Amino acid sequence: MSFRVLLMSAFAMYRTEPVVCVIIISYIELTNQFLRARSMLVLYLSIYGNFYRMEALLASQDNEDLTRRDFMTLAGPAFFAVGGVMALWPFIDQMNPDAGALALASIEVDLAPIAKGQAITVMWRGKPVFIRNRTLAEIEEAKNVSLEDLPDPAPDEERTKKGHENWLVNVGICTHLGCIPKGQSLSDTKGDYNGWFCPCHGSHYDTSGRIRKGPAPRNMDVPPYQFISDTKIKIG
Amino acid sequence: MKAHNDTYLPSGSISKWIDERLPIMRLMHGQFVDFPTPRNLNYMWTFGGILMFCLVTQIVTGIVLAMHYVPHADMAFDSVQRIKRDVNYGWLIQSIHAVGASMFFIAVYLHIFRGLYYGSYKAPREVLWILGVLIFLAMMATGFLGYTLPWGQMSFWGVTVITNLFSSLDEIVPGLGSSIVTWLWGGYSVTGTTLNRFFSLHFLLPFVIFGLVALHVWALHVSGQNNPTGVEMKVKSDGVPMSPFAVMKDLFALVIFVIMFAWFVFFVPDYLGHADNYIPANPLVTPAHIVPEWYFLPFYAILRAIPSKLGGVIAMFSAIIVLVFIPWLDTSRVRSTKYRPLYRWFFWLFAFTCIALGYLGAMPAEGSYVFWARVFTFY
Ligand code: HEM
Ligand code: FES
Repeated sequence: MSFRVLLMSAFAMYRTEPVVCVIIISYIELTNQFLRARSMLVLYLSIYGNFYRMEALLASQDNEDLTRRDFMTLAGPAFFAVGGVMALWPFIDQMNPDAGALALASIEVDLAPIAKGQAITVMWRGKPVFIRNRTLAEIEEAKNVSLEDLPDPAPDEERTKKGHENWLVNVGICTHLGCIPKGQSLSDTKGDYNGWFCPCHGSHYDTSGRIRKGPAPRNMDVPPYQFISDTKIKIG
Repeated sequence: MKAHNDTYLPSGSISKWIDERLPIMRLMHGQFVDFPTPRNLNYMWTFGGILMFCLVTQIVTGIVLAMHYVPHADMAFDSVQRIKRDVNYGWLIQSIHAVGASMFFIAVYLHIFRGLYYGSYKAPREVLWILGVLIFLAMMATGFLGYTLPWGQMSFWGVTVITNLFSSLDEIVPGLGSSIVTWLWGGYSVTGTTLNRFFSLHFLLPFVIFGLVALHVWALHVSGQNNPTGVEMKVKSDGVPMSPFAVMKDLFALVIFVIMFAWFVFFVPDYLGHADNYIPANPLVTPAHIVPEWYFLPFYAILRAIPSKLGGVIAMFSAIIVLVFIPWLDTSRVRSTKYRPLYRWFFWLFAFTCIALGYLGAMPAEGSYVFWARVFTFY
C-alpha cells in the first residue's frame, strides 16, 4: 500500500466515526492478508490517535464543544494505548519457540534389546523419555494400589497400551520443577515405591510413574506413542 | 535538594565555560562534597558506597568477559574455561566477576538489615526504600541469569528448576504456567536458545540497576540520611559536609572490604561456587543435590519447606515482596531499634532465622513462622 493511500485513508478516518472506520479498514485488509492488516492497523491507530489529540487541542482553543473535546482527549490516548500494545506483541512473541523448535519430530525405538527389569532413556523433542520393561511383580504392584492412595489418581491401564502392559513409557521429567528422577540404571535408588526418586526435592514415583510422595503435583507424563510392531514403538 | 551551601568555585576558564552551559560539576559537588551527612553515622552506613563500588566492578569485569564469552550451548562452558586459562589475566577478571557477585550480595544484605534495624524505611523514606527493594530484585535476577552463563551442571539445572517455578501457576489457571515457561525457554526444555537470551538480559539488567541506583541516591538526597538514633537532623549545621568526613570513612571501610574481596579472589576463588559447575551441562542427568548460589539459599529453603508446589512458590515470593510493604506494616513511630527493646528481640531472631534458613535449609517452617510472627508484632 502506497504512502499516499495511507495518508488519505488516515485523513478520511479523522473525519469520520472511529469505530466504523477501523472495522471497514480492517475488513478490507483482512480479505487480503491478515498479517499485513495487523501491522497496518497499528500504524493507523497511532496516526489516528495523533489526529485526535490535535483536534482536541484545537477544540480547547475555541472552547465551543466541551463534550466533544472531552471525548477526544480520552479517545486520543486510548488509541495510542491500543496501538502501543499491538506494536508490542511481536517483541513478546519472538521469545516463543521458533519454527525449528516447533517442528514435531517423532522417533522410532527398537525395544528388542531391553531385557525384563531394565530401562532405557531416549531423547524426544529435547526431553528424556523413560522406557521400562517391567517385571511381573512390578506390574502387579502398580495394579494393586487403590486409587484413593494416589495424589493424582490414574489406573495403571490408562498409562500403558493394552497387550503391552510390561512396557511403561514416560516423559522422564519430574512434574515438580523439572529435574530428571533417578531409577533408570540398576544401581540407582528407586524411591520408596520402587519406581523413581527425584533427588531435587524428594518426590517418589511408583512402578507406573505415578507420584506417591513429595512435592510433585502430577504423575509423570505419558507421551503420545504407538506400537508399530511387537518390538518397536513410534513416539510423537 | 538545595538545603545546603553551594561551595563550588570553578577554577580556570574551561570549567567556568562548562559550568555556565552544563553545571554538572556543580551538581556533583553539591551532592557529593557539600552534602550534609549526620555526624553520628556508624560503619553500617558505609555499605552504600561499597555497593556502588561493587556495581561498577561487575560492569567493568562483565564487559571484558563478554568480549571473550560465547553464549552457545556447545561452546559456553569451554569459552569460560578459555577465559580462565588462556586469556591474558582472564583468570583474574573472571574470578573478580564471580566472587564480586557474592560480595555484592553480602554488602546488600548488610545494607538491608541496617535499614531494618534503624528504621530507615519509615516516612519520609518509603520511596527510597522501595527503590532499594527493586534494586535487590533486579540484582537477584542478574545473579541468577549470570549463573546460567558458565553452562555447567548447576547452571543448567538451576535454570530448569527456577524457571519451572512459573509452572506452578498451572494450579490457578491451567496451561498459563506452562506457556510462560515455554515462552521463557523458547522451546520445550532449557536449550542454547535459553542461554542466548539469558546472556542478553544479563548484559542489560546491570544498566537498569544503574538507573535505579541513580534514583535511589536522588531520593536519598531529597530526604537526607537517617542516623543511628533515628532522630532527624534539625538544621543543616547538625551535619558535616560529606567530603572529606563521610568520604574518608567510606573509603576506609571500602579498603577493608576490598581486602576481604581480594582474599576470596586470590586464595579461594571457587569457595562460594559449587564443584558440580565444573561438569558441563547435561540435560539427561540431574546432579544429586541442586543448590542455588548461597545468596538465594534462605528463599530456596522456604520453597523446599512447604510441601505444596504452589504454596512453596507463593511463600517464597511473598518473603521478598513483603519488604515493599514494611514501611506500612510497621506502625511504630519510633525509628531506631535502639529504642525499641521488644522489636530488637524480633529483629535478631529474624536475622538468625535467615542465616539458619540459609545454612541448614532444613527448618524452614519455623523460619517463615518467625518471619510472619515478626511482621505481626509490628502492629
Ligand atoms: C549487577 C551486576 C552483575 C552481577 C551480580 C553479575 C553476576 C554474575 C554471575 C554470578 C556470573 C557467574 C560467574 C560464575 O559462577 O562463574 C556471571 C557471569 C558472567 N557475567 Fe555477570 N554480573 C553482573 C554484571 C555483568 C555485566 C554488566 C556484564 C556484561 C556487560 C556481565 C557479563 C557476564 C559474562 C560474560 C559472564 C560469563 C562468564 C563467567 O561465567 O564468568 N555481567 N555474572
Ligand atoms: S524437581 Fe523433582 S522433586 Fe522438585
